[in-house]
Amino acid sequence: MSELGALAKGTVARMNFPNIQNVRSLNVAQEKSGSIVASDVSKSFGEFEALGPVSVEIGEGEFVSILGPSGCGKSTLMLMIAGLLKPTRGSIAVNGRILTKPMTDVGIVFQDHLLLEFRTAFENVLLQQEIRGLDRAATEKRARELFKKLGLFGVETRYPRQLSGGMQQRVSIARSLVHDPSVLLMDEPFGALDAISRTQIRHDLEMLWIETRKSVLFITHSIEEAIGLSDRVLVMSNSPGRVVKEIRIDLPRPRPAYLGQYPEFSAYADEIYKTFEELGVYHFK
Amino acid sequence: MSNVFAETTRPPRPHLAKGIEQIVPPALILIAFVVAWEFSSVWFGIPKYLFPAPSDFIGKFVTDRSVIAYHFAATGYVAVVGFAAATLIAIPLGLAIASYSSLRRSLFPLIVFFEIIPKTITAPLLIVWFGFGFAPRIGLVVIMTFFPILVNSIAGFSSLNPRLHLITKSMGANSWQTFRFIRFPSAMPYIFSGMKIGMVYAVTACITAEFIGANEGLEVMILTASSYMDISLMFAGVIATAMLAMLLTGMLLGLEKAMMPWRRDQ
Ligand SMILES: Nc1ncnc2c1ncn2[C@@H]1O[C@H](COP(=O)(O)OP(=O)(O)OP(=O)(O)O)[C@@H](O)[C@H]1O
Ligand SMILES: [Mg+2]
Repeated sequence: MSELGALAKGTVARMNFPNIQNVRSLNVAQEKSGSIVASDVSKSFGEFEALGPVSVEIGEGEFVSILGPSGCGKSTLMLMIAGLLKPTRGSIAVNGRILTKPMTDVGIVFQDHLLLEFRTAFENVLLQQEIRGLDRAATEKRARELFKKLGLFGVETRYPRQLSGGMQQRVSIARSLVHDPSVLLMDEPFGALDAISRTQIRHDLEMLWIETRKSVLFITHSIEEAIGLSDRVLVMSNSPGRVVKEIRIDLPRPRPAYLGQYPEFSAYADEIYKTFEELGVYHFK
Repeated sequence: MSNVFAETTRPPRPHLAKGIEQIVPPALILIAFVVAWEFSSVWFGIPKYLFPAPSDFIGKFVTDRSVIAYHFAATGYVAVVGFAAATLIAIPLGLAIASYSSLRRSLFPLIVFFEIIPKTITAPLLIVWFGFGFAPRIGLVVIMTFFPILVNSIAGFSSLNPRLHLITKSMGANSWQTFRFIRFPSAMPYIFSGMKIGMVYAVTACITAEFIGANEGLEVMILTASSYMDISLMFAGVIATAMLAMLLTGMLLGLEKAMMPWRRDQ
C-alpha cells in the first residue's frame, strides 16, 4: 500500500481531524448546517443563455455531483450557488435564507485553481486564516495535516509557478478545506491530476466527508468519480444546461478504488451513458 | 516504501558558483576599461588637463572627500525627498484612477498632456515660485519622477485578474483586506518598474535643477571646479553622481527583492 494510503486511512480514522472542533469554534456566528436550494435558476450573458432553468437541492451533509458536457453551465451554476454570480432568474437559498451576498461558510475549488502567484503554497492556504481572523496556530497545524493527506510534501514554501498543475490543484483543495466550512463547492477539483492520484484523493475526500459530513457540490467529467463519491448524481444536458436525470447512488461507504466489483456500479454507469446518448452528447454507431 | 506522491525537492542552488559566474566577466571588463583609460594619455597622447586618468581624480576622493561628501549628500537628499514625495502621491492616485473609470476617462487626457511636456522647462518657473533653496529642486524631482510611477501604478492596479476577487469574496474579505491581500501585491511589480524608471529620472532632475541654480550639490561642485579648471574634481563629481545613481537604484532593487520574494530567480 502506498504511504499516503496508509497515512490517509490512519490519520482519518485515528486522528479524527483533531482540530476540526478547534477551528470551527473560531468560525464565529456562522450557520453550521449548509442546506442549499436553487429554484428555477437560469443565467444569460447578454443574449446568450448559458444555463437553465435548473432546480438543484443539496441536503444538509449530502454529497451531490454534477455531470454534464463541457460548456453546459456547471461552473456558472456553482458560482451562483456560492453567491458570486447573480442568477438572471430564479433564486438560491442557503439554510432557508435567500442568498443576497457571497456565501462565506464555504470552501471553493475553482476550476482554474485561482492561487495567488505572490504567495507560497502554504501562504495561499493560510489566506483563509488571515482574512477570516482564525487562530493562527490551529490553522497552521490543520494546513500541515492537509498537505500531508494531499501528498504535498516539501512544497510549502514554493510559489504557484514552481508547482505542477496537479500540485496547484491540491493546494487549492487544501485552501478549500482548511477552515472547515460546512459547504464545499468543487469544480473539477481533480481535473489536473493523474489517474493514480485521482483515485487516492477521491478516497481521501470521501473519508474526510464521512468524518465531517459537509454539504458538497462536486462538478466532474468523470462518471466513475461521480458514482464513487456521491449520494446523488445530477446529469445535465447540452447548453443551456438543464438537469435531465437524477440518480441516487446506493453503495456502501467507504467505496473501494475499483468500483467494478459492484454490479450496481455498471448499472449506474450505464444509465449515465444512455442519458448522454439520448441527449446527443455521444454519437456511437 | 514507495510513494507515488513524494515530490523531490530541488538540489540547493550553487550560489557561490553562480555568483562568480555573474561577477567575474563584468569585473574583468571594468578593470580592462580603467586600465585602458589610465594609459590612454600615454598611448593616444590625450592631454591630461582635458581628460585626466583615473589615478588623477580617484585621489580627489581622498583629498577633497569632505567637499565631495557634502555635495553628494545635498544631491542625494533632494533626490530621495523628491522621489519619496512623488511615490507617495502617485501610487494612491494611480489606485484611484484605476478604480474609478470616470476618473480615468476625465484625467487621462490631462495626464497624457503633462507627460508629453519636457519637464525641465518647468524649472525656471519653480525657481520663480519657490526661490533658490531646496524646494524648487525637490519640485523638479517630483515632476519628473511622478509620471512614470503614476502611469505604471495605473497599469498595475488595472492588471488584476478579476476572478481573484472570487476568492476574497467567498472568504468574506472587506475592501481593505482585498486591497492588502490581492490588489496591492498584484500591482507591485508594475509599481516597482515605474519606480525604477523614476529613480533614474530623479538623479537627472537633481543635476538639471542644480545646473539652473543652487548653492550645493554635485553639479554645483562640478560647475565650481570648472571655473577653476580643476578637471580632476569635475571628473570626480561625475563619478560621484554615477555612484549616487547606482546607490539609489541598488537600494530600490534591494527593496524590490525584499518585497517581492516570489519574483526571485525568475
Ligand atoms: N462571464 C461570462 N461571460 C459570457 N459568457 C460566459 C461567461 N461565463 C461563462 N460563459 C459561457 O457560459 C457557458 C457555460 O459556461 P460554464 O463555464 O459554466 O461551463 P461548464 O459547464 O463549466 O464547462 P466546462 O465543463 O468546460 O468547465 C459557456 O458557453 C461559456 O462560454
Ligand atoms: Mg466549468
